[in-house]
Amino acid sequence: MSQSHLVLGVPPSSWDESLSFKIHCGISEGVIRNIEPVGRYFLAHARRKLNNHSFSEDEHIQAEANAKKLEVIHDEDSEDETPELLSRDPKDWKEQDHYAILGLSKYRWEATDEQIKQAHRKKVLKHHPDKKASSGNTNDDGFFKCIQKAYEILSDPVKRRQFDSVDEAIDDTPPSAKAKGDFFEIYSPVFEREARFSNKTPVPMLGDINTIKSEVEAFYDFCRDDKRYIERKNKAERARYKKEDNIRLRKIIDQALSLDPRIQKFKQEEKAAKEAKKKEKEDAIKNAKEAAQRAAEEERLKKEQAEAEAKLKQQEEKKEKANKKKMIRNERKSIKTHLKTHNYFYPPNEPPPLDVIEMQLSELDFLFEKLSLEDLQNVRKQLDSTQDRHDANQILVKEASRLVSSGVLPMDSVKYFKSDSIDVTENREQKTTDIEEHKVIEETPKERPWEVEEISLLIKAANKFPGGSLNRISEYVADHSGLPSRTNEELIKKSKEVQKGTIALDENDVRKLQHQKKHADTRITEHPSMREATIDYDAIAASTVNGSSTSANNTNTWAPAQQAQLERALQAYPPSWKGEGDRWDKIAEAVENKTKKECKLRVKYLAEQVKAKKAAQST
Amino acid sequence: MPSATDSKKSIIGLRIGQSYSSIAIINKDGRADCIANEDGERQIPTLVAFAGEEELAGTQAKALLLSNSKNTISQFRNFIGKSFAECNSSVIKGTAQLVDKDGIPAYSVEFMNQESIFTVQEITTKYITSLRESAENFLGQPVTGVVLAIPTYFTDSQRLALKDATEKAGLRVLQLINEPTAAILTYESGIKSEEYNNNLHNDRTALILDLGSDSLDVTVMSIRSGMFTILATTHDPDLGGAAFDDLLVNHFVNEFKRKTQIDILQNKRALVKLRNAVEITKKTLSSSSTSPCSVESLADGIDFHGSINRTRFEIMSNKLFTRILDVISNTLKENNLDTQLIDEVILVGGASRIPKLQSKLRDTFNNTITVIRQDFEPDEVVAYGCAFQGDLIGDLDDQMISDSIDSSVTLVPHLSKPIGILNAENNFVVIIPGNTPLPARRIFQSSNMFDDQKKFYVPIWEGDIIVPKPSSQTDNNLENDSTLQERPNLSPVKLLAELVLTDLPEKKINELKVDITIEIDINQKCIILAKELTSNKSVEIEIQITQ
Repeated sequence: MSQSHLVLGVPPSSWDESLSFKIHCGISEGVIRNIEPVGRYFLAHARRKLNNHSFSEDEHIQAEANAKKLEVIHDEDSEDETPELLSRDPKDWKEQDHYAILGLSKYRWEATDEQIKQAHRKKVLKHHPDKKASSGNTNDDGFFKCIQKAYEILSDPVKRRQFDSVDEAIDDTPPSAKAKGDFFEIYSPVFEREARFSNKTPVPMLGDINTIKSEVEAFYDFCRDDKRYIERKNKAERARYKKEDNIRLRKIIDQALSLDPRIQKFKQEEKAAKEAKKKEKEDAIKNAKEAAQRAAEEERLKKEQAEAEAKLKQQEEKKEKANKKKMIRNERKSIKTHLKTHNYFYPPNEPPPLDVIEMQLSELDFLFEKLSLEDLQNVRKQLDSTQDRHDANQILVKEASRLVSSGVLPMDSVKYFKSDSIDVTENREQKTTDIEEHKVIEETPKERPWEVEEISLLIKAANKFPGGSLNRISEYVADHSGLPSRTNEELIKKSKEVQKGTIALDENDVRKLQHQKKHADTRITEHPSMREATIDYDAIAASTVNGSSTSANNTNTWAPAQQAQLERALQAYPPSWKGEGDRWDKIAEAVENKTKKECKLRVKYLAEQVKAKKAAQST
Repeated sequence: MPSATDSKKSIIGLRIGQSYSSIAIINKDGRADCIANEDGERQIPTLVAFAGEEELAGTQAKALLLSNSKNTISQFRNFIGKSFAECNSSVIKGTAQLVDKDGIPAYSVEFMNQESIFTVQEITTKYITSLRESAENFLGQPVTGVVLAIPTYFTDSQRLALKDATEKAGLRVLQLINEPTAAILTYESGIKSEEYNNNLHNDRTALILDLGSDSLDVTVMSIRSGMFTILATTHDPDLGGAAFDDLLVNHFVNEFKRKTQIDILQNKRALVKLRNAVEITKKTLSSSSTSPCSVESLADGIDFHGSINRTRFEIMSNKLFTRILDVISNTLKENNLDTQLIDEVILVGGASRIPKLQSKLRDTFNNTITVIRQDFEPDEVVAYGCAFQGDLIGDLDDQMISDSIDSSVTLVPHLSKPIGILNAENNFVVIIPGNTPLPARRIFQSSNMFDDQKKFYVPIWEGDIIVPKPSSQTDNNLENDSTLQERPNLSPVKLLAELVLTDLPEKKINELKVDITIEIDINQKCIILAKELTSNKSVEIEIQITQ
């Protein structure tokens, strides 16, 4: 770039070829101004000015000064390396003169860190094992190790100080009190030398004869102070040595203890005894544990056996029962077969009317209900032994009358097998009247006409409850229809009708029912909680008014006294109660005339009420 | 003394301002930094206060400014070394008043329950002592020396008095340096020495605009080979940050009057309160567009809450900006200088942060030539420079320092006109710019303009009366090209000498190198040497000033 600025051409054509220059005039007079005396360039200017040097002179001097600096380093390097020094064993580093190794023996403690660094570098360059190897020398790096050690000591301020303090090359004996000569000449270097150990700098110097009193006093004060400091340090050092020695001694004792065969033997014996004892203890515990386990196992086996026996017994009982049932069924069947073989007590060629058969069979069933297996067997045997229908009839009538007379069977429930009943064939008229009478009975307003709903409920109940649980069926129908309950007979009759399809439900009725059902279902699915809440609410209202109440779905009535008893019992036997037997048995005992189940239901019902009440309050 | 290896020097740079002072040190990275006093402030108020039996200084004195204004001394720096008659006590606002003590300015305050008189000198010593203690607390060791910054307009007696007060405060004064010089030294200290070698001189001319709290100082300084020469300086004692404060105070006084019908112009206490608040308002305005001003119980127990936006402030202070710019242009004009010659405007002083001022300066100066710089904290840059100088001369002994700063060394002739060479394209290339202190020496390398050029023609010229920007061989010469063209008045005026080199070796274009050395000694004798580097062919001439 500068070239483009300062590109010079050839002299103009008018230039006199013989001349190499032509001077026209001097520069304009300069202006005297003050240079601001700041910055390093001003310092350079001042140096030139004060020494009256020109630029080139100054440069020369500066270059010389720099060369001198380099020379100094060179000098250090060229400090004699005696064969003795070079053959030093690095293992004896404690005795070596580190300054001599680095070629700084004439500086010693006065050597600057920079000097040490430089000297080290030079020495390393000269004595590096690689360099020696390349120059065909043997692989002797002994002196190199000495250099490294020396540098390690001297580059660490603490280590260097330690070394300096025991530097044998320095004469630190106090000068003789009788030494002749100038006091200051003798003592100044002494104090100067000692000053190197002072942590406080600057250290005051001895000064000369003209030094004022205060300074002289300050000087001696300082020195004494320094002495005291060294004393303190020595004390600390002594303490440290003592401590170190103690540690060392303790280490020896510990080591001896750990290695002594007798001690080891004792220790082993002790250990064995300890272990034996420990094992004994452990065995005892183990044995006890095992014994307990065995006992538990035996108990368990016993229990299992008992359970198995009980089960077997139960199964046998069950089997027996089933057998008995089967026998009863067989007996009943054979009796019915007899009835059939006797043509239902009608003359053999005359087919009995269907409803008569029905009546007879149902009545027979009724009879069977009340007859034990033995009775049945007896009846069957009697029937087996006779061929005559009248006799057979008589047998049954006799049996029925026996039952009626013993009060097991109500009088009016027996119609066909009454003792006073006459021969069907002989008293045809009588029989017809009987039938007519029966018809009349059937038609009596006593029996309400069956509602469609009632019939459906009946079917449902019949499917839901097992045969024979008439009471429950009747209850169910009554509860769900909201109509007065039917008698057992009515139910049986109706159910049979339904079974046989004699009463077919009117199609319309069915549709109506289905509709109702569907409607009810949706209502329930849509507002289940509402429905529940209303019911509960009513129940609560009732219970709060009466104390003990009867709710729609709880037919059991609870008297206030019973309620109070229940409450007391609940308090006495809380859920956390742990005693002999079942908690609910105890509660039931405490409540008059109430079973365990009733109590349970009652509590559950009450709990629901309370819950609902709370829910109602919170909404 | 002996163990000089680990004697630690701890030298501080100290700037004692009229309102605030700062202490700087050079940290381990070689950078300058201000240290905080015990209260954590880097800007330490220049205040001394007496409260009961206590003497307070700096931040602690400022805390008592309101409750104890009668016993607080402010704005004392500029009175140092002056007689009572010379002092303009009107600058004191609300604090202890100046009294005449046998012709020496002093303050009358209540101290230890009795009327006491302290001279300005004594107050200054007290204050500097507190600064020294702060520095020593921070450094953890005694301060071994101080470089003090002083305003350029300080008279010799004032310089002496300040030095004396500082020494009485227990500090060794290494040197007193001018405030703008300290500032420029800070900017210069970042430049590596390698950049100075040979032709890379980084020569330039800077204008230092120091808008302090109480005054405006404009200094034009030439920087030649790392040396600084003040070419012009102007001091305006009425135009400082305080002038802007006055505007804001007036504004808020009127606003308060409008709101409450209370006139606080005569209420000194209220004015001090408002002035304190306004100082913060002004600072905030430099960084945000609106700034609140709140004073609790300004007068009659009524709180004041006002705010001002930057535009309003700028309109208000437009007159002040104009005045500042006038000072600058007058300074340049009176010294035959021009804005075109200013390479840098260096902003110093807290008030120089005002954004509008900076934009006005940009408008005034040619953007392609002049750079507006505020690289360093304007409040601290002066103290930094002192610290740099302290670091430089800390190891020198007093004799060496006093010899160096003697006028026999500093007072030298400066080249009045630039000297350069007319190149092959007839362009004037400056070798030594004007205002270069003598002796001076510059070396320029030139090259041939065509292949096998056997002769070299070197015409040496003196330039125009207007000092041109020196061209340098730095890499940004493209810029210089354009600037050169923008200075029509820069032209060779007087042919000094012609040199011709002959029988040069045959070289390709640009490969023949000829060094041209121009050295002018203190007697203004000019030595010119042209030397071809490979053949060592050379011509050397001497031109005496008398010729």
